[in-house]
Amino acid sequence: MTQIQVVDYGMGNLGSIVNMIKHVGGNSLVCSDPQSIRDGEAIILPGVGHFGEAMKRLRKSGWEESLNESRERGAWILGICLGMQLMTRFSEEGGTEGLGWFPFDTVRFPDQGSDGKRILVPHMGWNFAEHGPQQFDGWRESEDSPRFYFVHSYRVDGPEDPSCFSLTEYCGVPFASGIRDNRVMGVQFHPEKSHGYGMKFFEWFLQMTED
Amino acid sequence: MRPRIIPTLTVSLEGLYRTIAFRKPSYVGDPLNALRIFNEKEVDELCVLDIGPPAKDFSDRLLFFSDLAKEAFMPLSLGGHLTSLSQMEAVFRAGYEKVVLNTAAVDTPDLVREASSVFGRQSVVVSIDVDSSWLGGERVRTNRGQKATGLDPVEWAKRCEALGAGELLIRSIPRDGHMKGVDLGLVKRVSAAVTVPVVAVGGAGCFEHLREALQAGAHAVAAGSLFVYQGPRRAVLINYPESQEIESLAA
Repeated sequence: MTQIQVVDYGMGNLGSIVNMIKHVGGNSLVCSDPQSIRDGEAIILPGVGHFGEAMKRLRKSGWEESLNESRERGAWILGICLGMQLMTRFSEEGGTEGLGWFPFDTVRFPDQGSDGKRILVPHMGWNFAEHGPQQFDGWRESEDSPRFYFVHSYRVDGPEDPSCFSLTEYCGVPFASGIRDNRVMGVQFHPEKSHGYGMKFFEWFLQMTED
Repeated sequence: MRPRIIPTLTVSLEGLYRTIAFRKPSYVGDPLNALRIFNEKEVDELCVLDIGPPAKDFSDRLLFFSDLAKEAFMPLSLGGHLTSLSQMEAVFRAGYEKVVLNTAAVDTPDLVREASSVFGRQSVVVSIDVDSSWLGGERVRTNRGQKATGLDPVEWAKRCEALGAGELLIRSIPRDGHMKGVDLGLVKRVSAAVTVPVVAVGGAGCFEHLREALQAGAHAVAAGSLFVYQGPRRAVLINYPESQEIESLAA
């Protein structure tokens, strides 16, 4: 069984991810040394907190280099929440450059939604993952739009990009909630905290990393 | 977006308890068992509050909280006797998304500021317990209602937001456990004064009470007794509204 390596750079809800992987029958290991993922086949980049602070930690401790290497050698990498945002070029949160794996940025929500009302951030609660431009549906249980738990104040600005396989709307503002480029993917929602839909998501991720 | 409906589990190391106006704790059952049932019911979120006496050893309690988190595949928050950043970090590592600060926020407001800068403001909830009396007006109390602070709830809520709280739990002490409805005036005043999400708690006894609290301005409603009791004789029966019912609460 492929061991899922969970990157520990001091900014993630690692416990929840480890618990969920175990629940769906997988095997995971929390890694705090960037060298330890050198040969890993499946890596999860979690993240809760400030983009600028997260990038600073990834750069300082050597994670950025080892993650770039892992991407180049074709490992599976799944970014969750801030972990997904870190894969973009740049974030308005902290005005910091990201890993730059996807050709778009992480931006603020506008002050007003499409209905003219003030948008409350964080976007916190349950919302739907609709189909995006990229057909990539193995993680969906059926044709229904799965419901996931979200909590974030910035959004990934690539809902029209061909890499976007899941999109979500908050107050009428669409954003990319799932992006994928071959074996590298990110989700804005928290599948580890999303009940049955989240279990299905992780089961699918484990299965893909086995193939 | 649909509002969040949040069961609260008021626990001590000995079990799950419900109280009335913070008094008369009655044993409801095994918290882990309750949590499993809430898990099956796919609840929006769960709030675990430790109402036991302050334990000498944090590690014992952490073990208990970790056991709960292992079974919980929904967003989880934890409150009760948290006083340091290192305790909070351990709680996040155990699988909780948010910490709930109450007494510690009043005693050491800087803790709220530090926690929100380290863990992000969406991870820091401040819980405000409010007593109201005919003569004294509305005042914040801490230490599980034992200690008067003299703070006005609206002013304190604004201060918490400025300190970095990402969410506020507003609880009416006299309404706790009575299941006769939420203090709508309090919810209205606090939610009009802040821009962070306000979670109304204390007093919900039926589905309509949840709707009223949302209409008064709450972004989410939390309840204890409502989701563990059934019927006028308070038979213990873990329950939760159907997903479609919650959708019907969306503004």
